[in-house]
Amino acid sequence: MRRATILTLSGALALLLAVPALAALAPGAKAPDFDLVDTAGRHHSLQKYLADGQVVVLEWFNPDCPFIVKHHKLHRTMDATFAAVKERGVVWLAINSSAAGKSGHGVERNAKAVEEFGMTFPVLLDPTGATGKAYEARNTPTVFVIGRDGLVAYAGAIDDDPSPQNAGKTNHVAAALAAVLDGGKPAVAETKPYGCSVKYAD
Amino acid sequence: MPRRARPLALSLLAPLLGSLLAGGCTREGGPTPAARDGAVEVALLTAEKAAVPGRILTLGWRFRIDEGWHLYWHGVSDTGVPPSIALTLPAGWEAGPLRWPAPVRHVSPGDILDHVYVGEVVLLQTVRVAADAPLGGVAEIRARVDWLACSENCSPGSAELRLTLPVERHAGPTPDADALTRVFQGLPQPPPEGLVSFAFEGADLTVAVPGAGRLEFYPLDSCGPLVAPLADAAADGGTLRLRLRERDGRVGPLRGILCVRGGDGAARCYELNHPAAPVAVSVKEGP
Repeated sequence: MRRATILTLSGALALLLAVPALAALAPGAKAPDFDLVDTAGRHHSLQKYLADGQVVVLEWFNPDCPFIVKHHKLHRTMDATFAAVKERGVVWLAINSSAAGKSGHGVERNAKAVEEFGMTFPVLLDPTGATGKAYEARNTPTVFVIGRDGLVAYAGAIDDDPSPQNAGKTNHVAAALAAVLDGGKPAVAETKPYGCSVKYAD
Repeated sequence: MPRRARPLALSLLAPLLGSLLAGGCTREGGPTPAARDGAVEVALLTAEKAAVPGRILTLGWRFRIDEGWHLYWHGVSDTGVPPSIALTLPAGWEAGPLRWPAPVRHVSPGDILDHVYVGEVVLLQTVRVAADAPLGGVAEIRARVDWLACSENCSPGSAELRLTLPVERHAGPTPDADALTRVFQGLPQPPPEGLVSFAFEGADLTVAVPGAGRLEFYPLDSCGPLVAPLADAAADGGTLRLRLRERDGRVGPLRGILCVRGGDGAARCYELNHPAAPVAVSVKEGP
């Protein structure tokens, strides 16, 4: 009869033991280094930004994904979040890991997106997917906040509304940045990212 | 009774649609409310020809999905978002939860695991008609349906559906009733006693169905009890060895759908609901 008793408890336990999803490189991990080129041909090295004492935000990006359109065009979540901390030593980089032949790939498409979305930060191209896979990025968007210590301070969704059109109520990245810039740790360091799949090579 | 029925917004996300007129004429066997947006056509079906006061009405939300596209299940997926339905019913009617058929696994490059529907899927929902619904009247059901369809690209879609039904003392079956019954029979059920056994070894849980040709497990909770669902949660044969994430000396709980494929390829799907367990002790349960 033991099993029957346990099964009746399982609903309550499910509620008590709910823990965050781990769907990308976890907070506390050392942020993998990269040196990627943006749509204007400029190099961006994580190592260099960290050496300059910057806090770095990475946003996995694909201009043809409706969730990216939501946060860049419908609601401008990303640029607004960046604008609020821009003067405090924060670098925001979009990274597009679409492979050749996949949606959202290429310099031309992304240069057009930077213009169309009025983006205030660059789009870096990662067509081999090496950087995306190093960060275990599966969604566009997935956002990482990397502290000055080079460790992932936050990984996950930009906010709490996984629909393709509605604005969220809580901006997790803004909260994480505020904590990191004040020398602390984010109260919420990890959430389940939502969005389209990153379009890696077959 | 008032001739004008007030809508009851059952979903917190339901837009306020204003007051609805439930009067007017409707013909039995009229066109099924259906709408297409992009790669998906959605229709609202009922199993009964009329609403009977105080009785259950069975609704089916049928999605027909173009080839190469998929919709998302409501359980765990790495990407996407499941369809949502904001239902507006006459005053005093009560909607039950959506019932979701078992999905299929969909793996994309980069170890991306989703649980999706392809081709056609019908979500079921029962509605209890208000006991005081006026006989001889007409009831209107309205819904705003939103979904995300993906192929190589993703595309959000939506539809406004509206169905009117006469309120009568008795209701015969519609032409869709048999199909909806088959969908109901195919929904995941609690497993028969003794079919599935569980054995813990440390943080690993072995789920066994002797004689099965293939097992697949689709997790329901986004709290991530599985370490590696892509590698662990589907295998040929009668056992799955699931590595569970340990937290404070415990693993689980594990909630989801277990689909058991026989040697003939036919699948039966069951609801699994295994409680959390301490890691240190090895426990064998079941037969």
